[in-house]
This record gives sequence, C-alpha cells and structure tokens, in this order.
Amino acid sequence: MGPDAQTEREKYLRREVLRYLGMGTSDPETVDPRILDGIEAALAELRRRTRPRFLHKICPLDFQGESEELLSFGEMFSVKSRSLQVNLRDCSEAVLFAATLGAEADQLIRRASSRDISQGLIMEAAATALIEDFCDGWQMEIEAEMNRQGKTLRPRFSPGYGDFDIAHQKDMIRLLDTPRQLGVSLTEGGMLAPSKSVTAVMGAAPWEEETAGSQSDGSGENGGKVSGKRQRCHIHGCEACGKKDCLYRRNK
Amino acid sequence: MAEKMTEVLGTRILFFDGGMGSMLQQKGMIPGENTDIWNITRPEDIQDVQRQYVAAGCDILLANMFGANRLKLEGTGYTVEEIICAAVGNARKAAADAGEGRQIFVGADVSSTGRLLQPLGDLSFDEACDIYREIVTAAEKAGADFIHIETMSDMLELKAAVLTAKEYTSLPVFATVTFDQSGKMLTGGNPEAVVAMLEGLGVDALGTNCGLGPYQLETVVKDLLRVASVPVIVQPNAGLPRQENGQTIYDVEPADFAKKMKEFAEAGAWLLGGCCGTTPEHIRALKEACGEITPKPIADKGRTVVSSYTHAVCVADDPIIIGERINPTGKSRLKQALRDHDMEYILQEGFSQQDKGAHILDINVGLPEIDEPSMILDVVREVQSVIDLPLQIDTANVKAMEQALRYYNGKAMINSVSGKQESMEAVFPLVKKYGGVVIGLTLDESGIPSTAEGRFAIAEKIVNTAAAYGIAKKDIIMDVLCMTISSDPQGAVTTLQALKMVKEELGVRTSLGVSNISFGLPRRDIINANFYAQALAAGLDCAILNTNADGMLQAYHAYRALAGKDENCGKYIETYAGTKAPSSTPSASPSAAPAASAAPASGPAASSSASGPDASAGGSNLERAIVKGLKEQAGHLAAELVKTTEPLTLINTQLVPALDIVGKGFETGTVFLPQLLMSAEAAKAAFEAVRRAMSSTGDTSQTKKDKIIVATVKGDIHDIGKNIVKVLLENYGYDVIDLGKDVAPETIVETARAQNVKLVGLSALMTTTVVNMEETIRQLQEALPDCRIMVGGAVLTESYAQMIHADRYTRDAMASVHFAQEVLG
Repeated sequence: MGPDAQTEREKYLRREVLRYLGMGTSDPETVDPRILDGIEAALAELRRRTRPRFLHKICPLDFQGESEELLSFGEMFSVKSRSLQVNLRDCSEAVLFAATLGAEADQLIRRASSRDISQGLIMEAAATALIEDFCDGWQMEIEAEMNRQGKTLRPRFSPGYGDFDIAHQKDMIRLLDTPRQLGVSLTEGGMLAPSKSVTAVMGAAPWEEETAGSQSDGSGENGGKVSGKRQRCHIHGCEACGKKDCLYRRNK
Repeated sequence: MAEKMTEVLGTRILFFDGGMGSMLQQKGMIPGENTDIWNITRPEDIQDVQRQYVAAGCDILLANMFGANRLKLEGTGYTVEEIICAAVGNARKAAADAGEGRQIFVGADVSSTGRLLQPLGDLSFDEACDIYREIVTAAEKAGADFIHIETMSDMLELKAAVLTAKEYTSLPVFATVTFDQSGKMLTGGNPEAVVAMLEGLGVDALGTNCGLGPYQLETVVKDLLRVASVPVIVQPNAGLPRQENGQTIYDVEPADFAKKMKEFAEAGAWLLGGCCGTTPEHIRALKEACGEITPKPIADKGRTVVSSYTHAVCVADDPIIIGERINPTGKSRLKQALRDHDMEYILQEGFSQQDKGAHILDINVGLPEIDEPSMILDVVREVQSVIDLPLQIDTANVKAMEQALRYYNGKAMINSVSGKQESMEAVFPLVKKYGGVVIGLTLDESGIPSTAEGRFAIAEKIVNTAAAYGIAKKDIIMDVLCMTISSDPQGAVTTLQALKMVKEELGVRTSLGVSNISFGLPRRDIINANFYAQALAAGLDCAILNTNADGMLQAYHAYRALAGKDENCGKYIETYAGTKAPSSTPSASPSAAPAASAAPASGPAASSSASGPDASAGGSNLERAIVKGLKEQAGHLAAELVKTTEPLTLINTQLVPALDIVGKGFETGTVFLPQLLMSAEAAKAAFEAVRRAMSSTGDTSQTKKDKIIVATVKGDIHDIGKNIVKVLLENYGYDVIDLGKDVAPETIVETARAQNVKLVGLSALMTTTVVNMEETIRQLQEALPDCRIMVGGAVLTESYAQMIHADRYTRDAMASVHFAQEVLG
C-alpha cells in the first residue's frame, strides 16, 4: 500500500470511529478537539496494547440446488441461506475467516469506561473501527493470494447478515478452532468473546467467471452486486454503495 | 517394577508423544470433528497412532481426550466418563506394546473448556471448576498416571483446572501454557506470571506447548527456565502453521526440531515432546538427540513473587510500593462507598494508585456492618477486571481470605499471619493450597515484643511453622511492625533493628506499614517520609503506603536514585524534571496536594475549550463547567461551593439545570453523545465532591432519589450502553443498582422485590439475547406488576419493545432519564 492509500485508510478509520460515535455526519474540522484527541489516544493505545490476529481456511463450496438454498462448505458444515447463496454465486471455494483484537481490547474498553464513560465510549468506537480496519487489511492479503491463483475474492459476509443464521457462528468457531488458535470463543448466548472479533465467509470465484458477465442484476433484495468483476464490491463496498436500505449493508 | 511419575522425574529426560490431530487427519478426520469419540468408535485408529509414538521411543502417552468435556461432548451421545475411560484404556493398550522393562506413563490430557471465563466471557469460575471436576475424577478412576493440563491460554481457566485437579485427585499435576509470538498467553499472561501462579498452586511440572515452533519458543523457554523451580516441559509445534491447498502445513523437519530441542534440554528442560504437526519421526529424532542428556539439576530460584493475570512482581532488590488506599481505616468516604457497594469509587482509588506508581494494591474491606467474604470477593473481581496489578488480600477474616484467594486471578500477596498459633493454623493451609506470599507480623499471644530480639524470635517461629506446612521462606515477607514514636521513643530504632535482623539473619524479605510510626504527631507526612527513607536504607523491601502522599514517593524515588537502583536516575528525572519544590507555606496536607494542583476555578482552561455545548448561556461557573464537560474543574468548584451551600440546593439549582441544558442539546442534535457523557462525567465529579464533603462531616441525609435497577440481560456481555444509562440516571440523582451484565432474570426479579424497586432498565445487544430480555420482562411482570420496565440496545426498536411487552423503548440515555422522571418523578 502506497503512502497515499495509507493516509486515506487512516482518514477513513477516523471517519468510521466518528460514525460509531453517532457523529458520522460531522465535519472532522468542527468536532470538539477533545473528542478528536480522545480518538487519537484510543487508537494509539489499542494499537500499542492489543495483539490483533486472524486466521482463514479455504474450503470447497457446493451448491445444492437453487431452490434448496443449501450450501455445503466441504464436509464441514452446510448453511441454508438465500442471501449467502446469492453472495457466493459462481464461487467454487469459500474462505472461512475469523479475526480478533483479542482480550486486551475488551480490557481497555472496560478500563476506560470505569475511569470515564465518555472515554469508554470512544475506546469502544475506536476498537470497533479498528477491528474492521484490520479485517480490511487481512482481506486484501487474502485477496492478493487468491488473485495469484487466478481467483477473485468477494466481500466478507458474516453470520447474522441477511438470512445467514447467526447460529452458524458456532460452526465457524469449531471449524476454525478459534478458541485455541485465536482465543475467540462463543458465549452461551451465542456472542463472540472477546467482543471485538469477527467471523466471516468470503467467496472465491475463478477469474473467468467473474469477468464472463454478471449473473446478478442487482435487483430484488440483493442490492449489492456480487458478481461480475467490474461491479465487484471493493473493500468498503457497503459504505460506498448508494443503496442505503440494503439488507446487507455493513455496520448499519 | 512400576515407578511413579514423580520418582522418575529428573532421573532422565522424559519424552512425550507428538501431535494427534495431524495424525488423525491422515486417517480421515474432518476439520472441526470431535475425535475424542473415536476412542469408542474407532479405537484401533487411536491406538495405531499411539503405538507409532511408543515405537518412536516416547515415555509418556497423552490419552486422546483433549476435548472431552461436557460442553464439547454435548450432543455426541457420550458422557465425559465414557470417553475418558476409553481414552485412557486405548493409551494403556498401546503402551502395552512397549515391551519388557520399558515403562510408559499415561497422562490424562486436559485442556480448555472452549469458553472464555468471566469477565472476558460468560463462563463462571465455579462452572469451569465443575467441568474440570468431572474430567479429572473420571481420569483418576480410569487409571491415568497423572493429570496433564495443556494448551491453556487464559490464566484464570488455568487456575480453575489446576486447583480442581489438586482438590479432587491425588495424582501429580502438570500444566503447560500456550504463548504467542509476543511471548504472552492469548489473554495476556507472561511466562513469569504463569510460573508464579502454577508454583503457588503446587504443580509438579510446568511449561509450554502448542502455539509456536521450537525456534520461536526460545525466549519463552529461557524465561521459564530462569524463574521456575520445578521441572519444565517443552512441547512445541513443528513450526508455525501455514495454509496450502486448504491443508494446514507445518514445516519444521524432525532433525531441525530435535536440534533446537536439544538446546532446551541442555539448558534445563526435563520433559520434551511435540504438539501440532509433530509426528513419530519428530519424537524419534528428539529421543535420539536428547536421550543421553542428564537432566540439569533444578535450583530453587528463591523468588519472592506475586502475580496478576498479566505479569509478576518479584520482591527482589528494588523496593516495592503497596498502595494502601483501598482500606477503610480512617477513611470515611471509602467506608461509605463500601456500605453503598459503590465499586466505582473503589476503582477510582485503584486507578489513581496505579497512576502514582503502586506495584501492588492492598485490598481491605473490613467494616463491622458488611459481609466481608462476599464484599472482598466483589472488590477483588471488580478491581481485577480493570486493573492488572497484583493484589494484597488484607483481612483478618479467614473466610474472606479464602474466598478472595480462591477467585483471585494469579498469585496474591496475603496480609497477614501472625505468630499466634491460631492465626498460623488458619492462614498457612490457605497459603499452601492457593499459593501466595504471606506477610508475617511479629506479634503473638503475648503481644508485640518491645525488643528487636523478641520480634526476631517470633519471625523465626513463623518461618519454622510455615515450613512444617510446606511453605518456603521465599513465600513469607516479614513485617516487624512500627510502634508510634509518640508513645515509644525507641519505636523507630527498634523496628529498624528488627528489620535488619530478620532480613540478614533469617533471610526473609520485609514489609512495613510505614505511616504507623507517626500516630499522634503533627505533620505526620514529615516523620513518615523520613522514616520510610531510613527503612529503605535499612533494607526494607515493601512498604504499604499512601501513594497520594508526595513525600513518600519522593523518598522512594530519591532512595532508588541514591542507591544506584535507578539507571541514570531515569525514573527520578522522568518524575520530577520540570516540577518545583512546594512553597514553604505549610497550608495543604499531603493528601490534599493533588486537588490543589487541579485546574483553577476559572481562567484559561475554561475559555479555551472549543466547540460543543453552548456554554455562553448564563449560570454559575459550576454550571458552565458541567455544560463544557470539564471534569476536574466541576469537582473543584463543587467542593468549594458545598462549603457554603446546602448539598441539595447545590444539586437542584446548579447541577441539574446544567445537565438539562446539555440533555436538550443532545436531543436537538447540537450535542453529541461523547459530549453529553463528558458533561455527565463533570456532573459526576461535582456530585462526588458533594458526597465527599457530606461523608466527612458525617452528614447522612439522603441526596439520592428512588432506586432503579439497570442490567444487561442474561447471555449478553456487552454493557457499554447500560453503563451510559447508569451514569446519566445517577446524574439526575437516582440511586442506580447496577446488576452488571449477563444477569439472570431471577436475579433481577429478586433484587427488584427485595429493594422495592419500581423501575428496571434492561439492555440487550443481539437478537439471540432479546429472548432473555423477553423472559426477564415476563418474570418481572408476573412477580411485580407495579414495576415498570424500560428497554434499550442495538437490536431493539419501538415495535420490538412492544412485542416483548416492555413499558417503554428508550432509544438513548436521555430517553431513559425522561422515563424515570415520568415514572418516579
């Protein structure tokens, strides 16, 4: 990544933090400098004290008939989900992905909140934006690896998006062995712990199929265009996309 | 001929087996599959792998029961006992192939539950212990030779496992931990902290497995060998994993693996083996390389060490500060906080001591009117959830001491035991069981001896009695006690003499509650600081002191600089460069100094802060400070005002109107949430100043309005939204009972009933936990029809709230304030 792209990414990260603080429409120039300083301090502390990590596993993907809406990830697990099926259309493989900022992020948030709730809120927002930023970076790494193999990579799609049942979080955790590998586990209530963790599926399609023309017309509930190389979502697809009421809009 | 595991240790290098998962993958294991059930469904496959390891020369087989706990076996149709019985049986059968004269030990392989413990996750310590109880009792029954706890990545879960193995079996206990490339466990613990806690709990061997390859483990192994006084185990992966064509590949070849491991054996590791990606070939090479090495004798490192869940504090040649602020003796505000279960106040005391440089925090919650065992547990847990310093459990209540030690995450300092028979009989068994460094007080049935020799004699008795309980001298720190010089002119001299004697002749570390020396004298800070300096020069290791007393910290920093313990005077310069000596007018007491240095009442700070809520509106300085969210200023102004104004008047005419301005701004979109919260914090600081003034004058009149319960519902561990609501409600004077997160419906109902609460606020973040919110509402309405319920959280909407029969959907914190005003006034 060049210096310009890096600067852009850092700017975007800060805009995201403001958005999570409910200040997404604010011009950073006019924001109370104490909040901006708080964001800088939070990001710096998170970067210094957390150990962000991820892992991924590539598995073959089987579609078991359009009507069934059933997808099988190798022999590992199957999912009944129309939205995921649409998202993964034309893909031959899926990248199962998990990432976390680790326990330290939660500790920092808890600590900041007990000292000063406004700082706690800022730390929480900064951590949320930061894990997404790391995921973007790792996704680019995986994408580069896929490109080398002549494949393209679809955006992250997580359990809980659309009709991709959040209960599949459990399969993701088991398959990726995240308790052991990342220190990420599920609570009884089905939440990821530590809280700044992500699991996602990313489809990988052969290059030819991606460029051979779109099979998705972008109509219906699938507002994001997931097929066709030129229309492929880029890393910040959701935020850049004009369809604000899209069911799959990330970070609504 | 069968020897015991513990007898063989150290007579020769012992070899564990290698990876199991990677071997079973070749036999068709699907990623994510629970192969513990293969013990029953495909025993021949398990035995085949284990026979290969036996043939490769291992001494120890770990039964294939890594995931055999009730959480992971749920839905498989097998019980923990069935799987473990089969797993140990399979290993025994494979071991039988070893042939005459060769003994193979079978270890019960115990690992993580797969869930994170509170406060990081939702599994309670007791639940974790119960899961481990089932495993270790089954393993002993099945005939395992020892309990091998491995691949642990969280300190508290590690403690639960080891403690349970010790409590419920008579088998030797080994424990190994996984570190990542930063040299820490996944939840933050470093090798020193791991060793401190595990040795305290009395493991027979400890070490590291998984996570890294032998080459990346070098620093970790060095650290372990440097500090451990028990045998060290090393079981690396065959390098770092990488993905290739969907397969996980480990790259380190057997010969390279063995080469690096040989260095570890030569450096002192007694037990070697392999983890993920290692094969019988790795173990064969390992045995060839290291089989002839004579285990290096293990020296007792003699470290006096306590730990938290992240790091250890070793009492060695650099003085240690134990912060005394969380101890109600003579502190009316803390007493009130304890009576009110006001954890926030207690945490602030912890933060400020950490900021001032305390290494360990003393925790004393002893008040006659409170339930000490339950209170000390709450305080220890709350403090540990946000502060990573080791704690000193300070109580004379044995039950409270045991509670605190059991749930403490790490190896605690314990304050204290005395030379009284009764005290030693009560305290030493706890030190032995839970680990810890205990402070010994040189007093006994006949009181405190007036001579140094008398105190030395008691110190000696304490050390000898401890030894009979199996507690080493290194785990005792002697406090030879300070007697105030206002009643005993020789008090200081005797103490320093006794201190030198116990340190030099008895060879124990020392501690003092320094400020006792000045009771009854004016300007105690002068005597205290000078006595502390003398004690340091006499060899004092730990001092329990008030970190707000600048003189004490000055003595500490000056001593370190003068004694050559502060490289290039770095810390001294960092602390004092650019500061000025206080003026000669002795107006402020040392403890008031920080408040005096806070921002001035008005002036540049007030006018320089930029945008935000409109502060140009009229009102007092205090109102403006709150509107602007200037915390220190608001606290300072309120402290001044409360001297001349009735507390309630102050609250109603200044605090609440200021909050209303900000609240309105928030609702109309000119003030954002972070700014609203800055103002809330400023108002809180003002309230705190009022409360402090009231508790110091003994005024107990109520300033608080009705009670409101706030809680994050069962299954949900996100609580920032709930915490925001709490702060705002408190700002408006409500007495908020914060039940925390992941709260069972029953707890909420019981509390509401017991405390006659008329309003409950519930928070939930995810669809999966809204069901528990619904259930909580159902139970509340059934039991307490008069109680109103407001709900909030990311997934909730107006219609969702109606669907689950909440009385009000409160979209933000201000909305909950309005509903509270509507319901309660």
